[in-house]
Amino acid sequence: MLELPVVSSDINTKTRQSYWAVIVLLLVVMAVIYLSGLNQEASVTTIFGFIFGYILQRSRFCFAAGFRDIFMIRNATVSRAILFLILLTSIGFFIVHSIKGGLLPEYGIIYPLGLHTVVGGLLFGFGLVIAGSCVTGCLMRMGEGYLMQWCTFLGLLIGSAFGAWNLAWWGPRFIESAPVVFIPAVIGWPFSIALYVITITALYLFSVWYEKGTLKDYNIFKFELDRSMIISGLRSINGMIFKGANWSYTLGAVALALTNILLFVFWGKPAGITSGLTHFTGWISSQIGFTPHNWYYFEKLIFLESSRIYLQHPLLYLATAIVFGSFFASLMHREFRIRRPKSIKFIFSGLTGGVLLGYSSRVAMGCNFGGLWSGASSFSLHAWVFGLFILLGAYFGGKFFLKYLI
Amino acid sequence: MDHHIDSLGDICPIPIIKIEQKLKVANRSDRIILESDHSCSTSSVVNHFITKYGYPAEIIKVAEGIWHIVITKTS
Repeated sequence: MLELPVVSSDINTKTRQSYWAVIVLLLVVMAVIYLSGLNQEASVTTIFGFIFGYILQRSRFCFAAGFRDIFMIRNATVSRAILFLILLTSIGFFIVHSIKGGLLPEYGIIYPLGLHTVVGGLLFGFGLVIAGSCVTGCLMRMGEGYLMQWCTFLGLLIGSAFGAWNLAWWGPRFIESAPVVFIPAVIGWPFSIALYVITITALYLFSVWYEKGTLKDYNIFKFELDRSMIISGLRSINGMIFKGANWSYTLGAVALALTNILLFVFWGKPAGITSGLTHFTGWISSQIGFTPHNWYYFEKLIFLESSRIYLQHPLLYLATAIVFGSFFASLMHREFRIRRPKSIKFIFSGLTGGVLLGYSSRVAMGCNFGGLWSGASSFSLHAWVFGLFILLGAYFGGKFFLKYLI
Repeated sequence: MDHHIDSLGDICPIPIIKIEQKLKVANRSDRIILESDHSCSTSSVVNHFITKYGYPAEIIKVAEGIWHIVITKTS
């Protein structure tokens, strides 16, 4: 296991960031208490969103890097962390599903698989490279003060609105007739679990081979068997949690998986983001004279009722809380600053990338957080196809990036 | 010799690409010092050069949200 060097600090000046962190935390606690009387689901998702934001900021867990760095710098470290994350979460979801009497087919993220998944994946992959983040990463970086990601967020809202409306083209042609494949319903649970373990291990080893060109010196069991490694691992976890060092991607994956599994237990559904954001964009659109309740997404897919209006969607609170969780984490560790992009090009690429991410996540019916991570962990086949085409999209995005954005 | 790289406001993976370019012209035992305000870079850059190149790396926080990442070219 790689031990990251401890961050040494050269700052002598006193700072107020830690005080602000306490204020942010108090505000979030007050919001949760206020929401608990008003919209109980939203208070639960706010808590979990805050935790997600904190973990993402501390572990620097960047889903975009997992798809992009394989091609751009031939480094698959984060890709392997994502595979590990999916494996842990799917096992957790399976356990919750079994204990609670079969939640997954009804409440898991299991979506139709068709051409829309393919096109959505390609656009999403391209978008995340030029935006410098995926949807989740965008929220996390907004909390850290990156101005570029605020532009990406604007693009996300525009793209989601367009996607929610434009689904009227995709829906009748592809989505309505597309098969919904819940893998255990086809091959049974034992084979599904075995298939997951084998596939993820194979992809894991393939990524190592792709990076190093050989598997000769690689021993997948080395980590577990070496006792001194476990001790140094525990010591570095102590450093990561209590001393302000960066969390390793592995710790990030474990913490994210646990949080999503617990959300599934307490809320009854896995985490997602973009449907919440689309409801927000639906609210904005309704305020400026559009009629989003006639858009395909709201009319045909969500069946928007007056009882659940746009601003009550629990995932909107999860998404907002991610920004605050990351804001809190960066203040607490004195890392917050307003960050300006180096070049005006990044503003445009951020905005365009955001539009692509927003649109494609509507077309594919979810982003990499809900659609891919929670989807794959709900044993839905669409998530794997989506992931494969995100990878392909990121390949083309990387080519574009190297040519025009560097 | 120290090579300084200004990477403030760059998005990933530009910091890594800039260091790789500089390493090509650097001599043995030269240090590359990259200034970055990208929080993810503190993990991703260090991880890349330690695991892939085996070069020692160090992170120094020089201001709130700004880090110097020091990579030493050992071979």
